[in-house]
Amino acid sequence: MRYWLIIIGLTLNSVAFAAAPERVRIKGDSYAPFYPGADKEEQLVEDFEMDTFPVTNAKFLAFVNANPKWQRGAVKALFADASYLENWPSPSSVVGIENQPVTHVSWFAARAFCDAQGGRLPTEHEWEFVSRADETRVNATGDLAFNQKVLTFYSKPGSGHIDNINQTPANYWGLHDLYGLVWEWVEDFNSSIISSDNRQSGDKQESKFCGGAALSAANTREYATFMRFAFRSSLKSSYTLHNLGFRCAYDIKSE
Amino acid sequence: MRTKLLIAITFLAGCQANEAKPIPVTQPPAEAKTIVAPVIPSGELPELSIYQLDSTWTTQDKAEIKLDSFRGAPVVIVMFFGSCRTACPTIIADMKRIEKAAGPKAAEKTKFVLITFDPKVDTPDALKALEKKFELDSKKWTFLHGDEGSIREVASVLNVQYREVSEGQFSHTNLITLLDPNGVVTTKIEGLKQPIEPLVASLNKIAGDS
Repeated sequence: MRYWLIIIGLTLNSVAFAAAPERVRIKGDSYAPFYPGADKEEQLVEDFEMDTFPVTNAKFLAFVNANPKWQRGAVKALFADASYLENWPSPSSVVGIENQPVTHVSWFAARAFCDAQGGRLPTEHEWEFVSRADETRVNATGDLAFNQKVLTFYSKPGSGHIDNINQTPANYWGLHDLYGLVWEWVEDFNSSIISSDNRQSGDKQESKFCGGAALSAANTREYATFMRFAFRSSLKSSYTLHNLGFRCAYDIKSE
Repeated sequence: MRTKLLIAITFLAGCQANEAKPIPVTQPPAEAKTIVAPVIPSGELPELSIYQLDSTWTTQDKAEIKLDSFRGAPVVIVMFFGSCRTACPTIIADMKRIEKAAGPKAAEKTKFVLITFDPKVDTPDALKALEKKFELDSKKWTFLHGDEGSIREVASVLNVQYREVSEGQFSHTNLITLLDPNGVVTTKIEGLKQPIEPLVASLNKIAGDS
């Protein structure tokens, strides 16, 4: 009910947007993650729900209004750096950018938002699992054309301008804009080290950063996926970037 | 060739993000030389204090605490998991080296804190067993057990990266971090069996030994 009120509130958006549900259910399955585990190739992703679109500035403003400690200017440096919500016209206004994905948000802020909706950030496995889909297939990553499309987005230089949500058709799961608008936070963004583990004490740089990761990737053709992992590993939880937003995930309540 | 290309891409991605967003620099702690008796901090926490995290933890003695209960003492903090047979003893040995090398005031005041990545296996009882096994003084050494979200959060502010690579096995950054009495990150040692002198020097300064 609440969702429909919000959607009615955003009447100026496209018909397709108004028709899309607020969140969709994802049927979990085993999948082969980019970094396979030490003793298994497959990773199980449980059923969950996910926001259809990235969270918009309008929605984030409603959250900030209800939780003033997350206002621009009020947030402590541990939780968000100095460019937090810096693209907003004022700390309490999103005029003109209502339906753009919220960016300039830290991991902490994204997490707090999802928590307030009864959700959480998706795990990396959940995000990667759903992002393999194109419009018709659960897993399109074997298709060069699909990979090329994703890479094209990743290689676009950030101009600072971000379009409104609902720029891309729904994928197999009914999710929009996983690619094309912004990068998205995941709960365990800081897990992307690295093949070298606690047992290795070789070259620290190689084990801590990118090189080590390259050597253990399961499918070296997946450049796009690799770039996401590289991007995430460069983040810190207080960072707020102009092209980094998020969407929430929700556990399925047992009935 | 392919691997090299991948590395290049990664560096590009990593470096761009780093350039766009310089790491917020922690203000270096004020010179402690002129302070005779170390000041016991009070009032609002500094903006970068990790004691602003609100998570609740259980110690090896089953006390429920928040991180700010360490406020007032210098803290040497690590993240680890107990069933790791190699890095775990080494990191505890590194912490003991710090304890031994510290000046008299620092040795008396400093708290040593170990947070587990593995709440399923490293229960408070299992952590108590580790304390005994490594002959640690529970007045100074605290093991912390928390939920997964709290662990992810504290790892993020300490810049510890970790991933469960198989049931009960974690790949992780080995980092020993010194927190000042307000919970602000002061000095770090990256890796195992590294020189401890820079961290000990900061610690002595904070504690009023030098």
